[in-house]
Amino acid sequence: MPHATHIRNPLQAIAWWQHDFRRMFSARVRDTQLGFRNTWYLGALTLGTFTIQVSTGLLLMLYYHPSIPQGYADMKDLEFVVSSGVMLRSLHRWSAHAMVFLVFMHMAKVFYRRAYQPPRELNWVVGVSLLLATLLLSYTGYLLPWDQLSFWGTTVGASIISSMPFVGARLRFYLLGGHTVNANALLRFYVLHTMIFPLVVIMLIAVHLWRLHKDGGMYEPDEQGKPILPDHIPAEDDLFRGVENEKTLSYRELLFREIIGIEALAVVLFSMALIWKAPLDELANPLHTPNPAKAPWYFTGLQEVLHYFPPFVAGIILPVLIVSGLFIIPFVPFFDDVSTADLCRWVRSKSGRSITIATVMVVLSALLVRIHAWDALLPLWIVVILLCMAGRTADQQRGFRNWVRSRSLSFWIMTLFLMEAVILTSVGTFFRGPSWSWVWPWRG
Amino acid sequence: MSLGNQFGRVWRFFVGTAPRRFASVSVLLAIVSAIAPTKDFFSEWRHYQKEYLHLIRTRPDAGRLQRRFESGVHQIWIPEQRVVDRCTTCHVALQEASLSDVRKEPFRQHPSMPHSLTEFGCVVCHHGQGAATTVQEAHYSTKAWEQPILPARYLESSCGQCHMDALEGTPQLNLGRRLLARYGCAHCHAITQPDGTLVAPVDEPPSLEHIAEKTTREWIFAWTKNPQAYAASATMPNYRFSDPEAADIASFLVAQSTPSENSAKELPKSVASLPGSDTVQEGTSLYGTLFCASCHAIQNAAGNLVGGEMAPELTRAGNKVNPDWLRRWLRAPQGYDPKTRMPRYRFDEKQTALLSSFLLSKKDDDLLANVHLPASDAESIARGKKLVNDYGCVACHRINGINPPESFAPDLSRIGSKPLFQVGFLRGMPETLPDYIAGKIHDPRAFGPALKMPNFSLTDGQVEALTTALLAQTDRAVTMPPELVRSSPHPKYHPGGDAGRLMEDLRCQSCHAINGNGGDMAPDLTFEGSAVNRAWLLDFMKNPNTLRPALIRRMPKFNLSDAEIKGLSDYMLSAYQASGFDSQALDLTALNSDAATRGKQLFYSKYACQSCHIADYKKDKGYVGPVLAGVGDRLTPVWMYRWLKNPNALLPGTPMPNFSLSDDEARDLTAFLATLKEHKKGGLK
Amino acid sequence: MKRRRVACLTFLLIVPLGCTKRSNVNPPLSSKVYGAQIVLVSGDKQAAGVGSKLTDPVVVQVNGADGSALAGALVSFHGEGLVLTPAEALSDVSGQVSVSVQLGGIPGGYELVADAPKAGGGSTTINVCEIALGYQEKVGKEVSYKYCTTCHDPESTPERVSNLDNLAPPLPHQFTDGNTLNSMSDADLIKIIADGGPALGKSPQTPAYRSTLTQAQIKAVVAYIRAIADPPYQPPATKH
Repeated sequence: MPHATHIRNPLQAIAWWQHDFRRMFSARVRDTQLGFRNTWYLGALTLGTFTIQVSTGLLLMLYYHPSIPQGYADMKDLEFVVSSGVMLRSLHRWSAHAMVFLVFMHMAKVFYRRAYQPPRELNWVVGVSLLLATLLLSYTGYLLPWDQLSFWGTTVGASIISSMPFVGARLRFYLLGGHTVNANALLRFYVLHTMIFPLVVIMLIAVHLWRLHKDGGMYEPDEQGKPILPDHIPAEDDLFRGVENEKTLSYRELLFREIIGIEALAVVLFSMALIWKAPLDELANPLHTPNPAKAPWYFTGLQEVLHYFPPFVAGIILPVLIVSGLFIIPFVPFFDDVSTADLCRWVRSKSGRSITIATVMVVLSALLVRIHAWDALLPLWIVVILLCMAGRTADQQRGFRNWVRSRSLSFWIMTLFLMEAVILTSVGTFFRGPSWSWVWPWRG
Repeated sequence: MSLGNQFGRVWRFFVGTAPRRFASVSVLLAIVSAIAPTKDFFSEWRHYQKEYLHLIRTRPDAGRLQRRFESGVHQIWIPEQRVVDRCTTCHVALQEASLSDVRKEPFRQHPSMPHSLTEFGCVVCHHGQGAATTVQEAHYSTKAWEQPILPARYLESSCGQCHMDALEGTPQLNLGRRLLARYGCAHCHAITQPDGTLVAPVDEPPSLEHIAEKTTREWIFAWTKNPQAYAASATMPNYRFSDPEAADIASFLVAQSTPSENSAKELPKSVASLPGSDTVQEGTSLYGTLFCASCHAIQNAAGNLVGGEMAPELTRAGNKVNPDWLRRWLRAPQGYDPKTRMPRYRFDEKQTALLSSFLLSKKDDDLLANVHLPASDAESIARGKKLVNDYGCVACHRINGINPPESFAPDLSRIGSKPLFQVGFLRGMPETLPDYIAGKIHDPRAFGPALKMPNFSLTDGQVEALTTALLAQTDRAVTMPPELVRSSPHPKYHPGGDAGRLMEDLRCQSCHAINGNGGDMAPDLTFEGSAVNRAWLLDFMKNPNTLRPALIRRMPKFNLSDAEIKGLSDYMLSAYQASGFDSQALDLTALNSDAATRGKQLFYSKYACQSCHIADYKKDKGYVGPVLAGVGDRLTPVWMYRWLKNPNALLPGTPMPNFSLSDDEARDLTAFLATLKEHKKGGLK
Repeated sequence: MKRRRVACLTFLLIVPLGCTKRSNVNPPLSSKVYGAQIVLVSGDKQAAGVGSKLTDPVVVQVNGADGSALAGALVSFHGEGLVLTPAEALSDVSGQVSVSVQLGGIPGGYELVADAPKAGGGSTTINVCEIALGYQEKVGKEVSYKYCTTCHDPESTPERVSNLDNLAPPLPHQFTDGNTLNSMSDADLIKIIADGGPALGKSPQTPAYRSTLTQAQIKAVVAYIRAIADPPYQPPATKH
């Protein structure tokens, strides 16, 4: 059907709309792509949480004034007066946490499936941008209740920004609209959270889904581990024909399953919102810093690293390295191509390998111990032990050992990073108390 | 079919195919979404509103109450004051007069109160979280709101956030504020009141600059160790010094003492120069006739304090004072302490000698019996100086060589809003702000060994009153817009000229209030010039008698010269005038004997004035107001007339009622009172 | 399998028993001493602000059958809305027990009940009335102390001497005289305060306070009189 001709009747319009809608999805989906274990539907679940956020967010906007102290009073109104206000706010909060968690999981899953390989590099970059936008959405929304937690979490974050060289202080001033977190900061964060970042995210999601379609739909590797590319982008005519091959099904099947996943997630989130009320502290008091002043949970890992390194290193250098690392993953195939087995071949003799590994482990461990970063030692040792195991395995052995041998260097780097992130975030959230001292959470 | 198989079938029924999974999950989602709106129907406040409807069903005016009731969340909303109080959602019947007999919470009518519910809301008086609609969040200290409901016994503190005057409905608050001023809290702690001024202490700790002339090291030691052992009514607190510390302080204070102005003057004669008289008996009766008990108290044999509390207790003065110092002091108090409130009585030599011997006989031999101090050396003095510095003695007493400290103790202007994270509680005490304040006042040192606040030995009632006064010092009080603060202005008044100097010398304002300044022990002299006749005033100043015989307070006889009396009286008569007291105010020719007869009738029959005033010593016994037997000599007719018409206008707060007399009645009564004269011989003209 | 199931169930039953919190309450007092009668020594009919502690403690004494004081008898106190310290105690050597009373938050009368077990079963009780003054009653008290008690109170204080003995009959009634004042209606009391004794045909020794006190103050005095009346004042049932 040609573009831009007059549409003669409503049914034609509906058909045209359906046509455009379907372009978001690849026309054909293989049987093997339908199952849960491929992607765990994580992309769809993330989109689902975003939808929940937008709808609950719009409802919350009806009650919220971004001013001091009216914003906090509005939190009280939501809790005590608005029908289902507690549920609305709690749902918004837990969905926010879920969205951050799911977007990280989605990124990890995509990585481990190697779904960033050509032609999907741009989509990966868009995805990492979405990750950053999600984190920024969460950070800006954190301030809006204007309680102690919000105020000090934002203050800690802004002070990290100011540790950037040359531009740090000015950047902080632009972000906050002042020298401290005050009424201007609240208004700016409100605009960022309700207007700017949601629009950015919606545009990025559109690009993300379009690229998904353009790149041939869900990633599926062949026997060599290379992606199966579509032989052609389906012609428009094909879209209106039925399914051709009994082994290929229409997109509806996949969409259906993803919707079930989204609904199940919604059930979980709604139940969480009913059982656990979103916390609200006292009204923000600039004169009283709670001890400890913790950042939101997705930044506590960073705060834990801040405990060991100066703010410039932990707050600027490290995140910049991590984010750049994430962005360039599709563009450095070298790390993908090198497997553990290849690494082992660099050092021929077994004893040589042992010495190399032992040296690496001792040096890195010593560095970590020197700065008393005990919690960061564990993932390092796990990875090193696995590498040792791989190193001592002869080629062609079956089972777990062979699997370890065949993992690429990028796998080890990402796994180490993810394990460190999990452990440091857990430590920062649960095991740190007043003055960032070690506490056992069951005793605290 | 086995259980496993059956379960498998059921499972497959619900989630076998994708459409079934979709259906099951959608139903589950629908159920979960419906829970939150349903929960709204079971809110806590709806339960209380239902209970209220149940309660009023059986009452006689059920129909009217039910019509007045609206279900839903209620709130008192005053945007200008940022008041959002939803207490009336559960406390539905606060304004229902017919429910005054209900005692069940939360359905009671609010007891009578000075402000209406919609004027200021609830939280401004009762604290708590006004925006909440659950019991826990509204009444108790929670994570999101620290301030719980104020206990009923401290409720008057909320009045004190705006009101600075002593109100009738706030006896606890008034007492607490008086105690704050009287016990010298304001010497160390700065307390800013709602109108921006600081609380001014009314106790006058004596200067220690010349202390060595007055007393001994041993006495200072005993006093510092336990002030109340010397004088039970002393407001000086107990610092719990150890023996060596007290000895060091005594050494230092004696060492820093400089000679006073009095010390250079000639020493008045002692009682030894009066042989042949029963000095003890004469001294005791002189003390009595001079009415020193108006200001000073002495414990009698039964242990009761007899006398006023304006001046130091003299029960054991003989243990304390140096005899030479005492005689010099009685002759010229301002020569030792220029700021003292004690007047210069102009005693003659004999009076000085007798009085001092009487006071020196007031001794307790046990007080200093076991005090044996080592010799004072430079180290002891240095340690004493350090102690005096550390414990802030100079915040109250003037001491040579040490400057008054700035903010020696924490500022209490906002103590009523102190966040609990700044408070260290004792183990086992309830963790609320009022308990903290009360506990701190009751026993400060229990909160930490290094704390310097001394122990004030106050009764429970006094502690409660002080806590009430301090709880009134909230953030809201200190930031109150000036137009909402209720306080009467108290301008300072000092009389000027020669008469003024004489009044300073005589310390008239220690007892009399003039233009709102001064003591309240004696009549207010603001309009005295309009009130009294010149002849009477001259006579009175020469020989003060009393208008109220049953009181132990008396105006002293100052042995003034005739010229001084004339000058002072003329000043008062011209300066202390009320407005509208000119000759046109009353037609004096109308005060004839007919009017006097009618007035007598009114006095005794219609208004029964004799129930409170004595007009004739032989007949009348009423003793509430001043004796009127000589009132014709004392008061001017115009004053009497104006006073009878409206006493409160001339002396605000007088117990004399306003009888709403007509002009004629007032004139007749004035005529009668003007005939009440006591015939006296002589006197000044 | 069965043994494991039994073991699990036993564990699940025992653990909650062990996990009960130890309570901090002192073990209840008990006594073998039984009195015959409990009498009031002091502390009756005190008035204090709502929520406040009474100035003096309430002291009761347990007497034996022969009328002598009994030591070691258990006395327990209760009263709705009152906070009593201690709630129960053993009598001392002089047979007395003292309790500190904190009033509740409602203005009005409170009843404290003290009871001691009697020999032969049952218990002997005594009721003690205390009065909580709300805002209006406090205002009434202050106003009455300033304007009224010099004539209406036979006791003198250091601040003022009582004038009651100086008056001619009919003498003024004390404000606690419930027998007389309870039978006067609120309107009557307001009238006599505002317009003086002659308004109700009584002695002119009571002046008219209409121009001296505000309506609110007069009502407050009436409220105070009602609060401290002995026997207590019962308001008439409201009619509609």
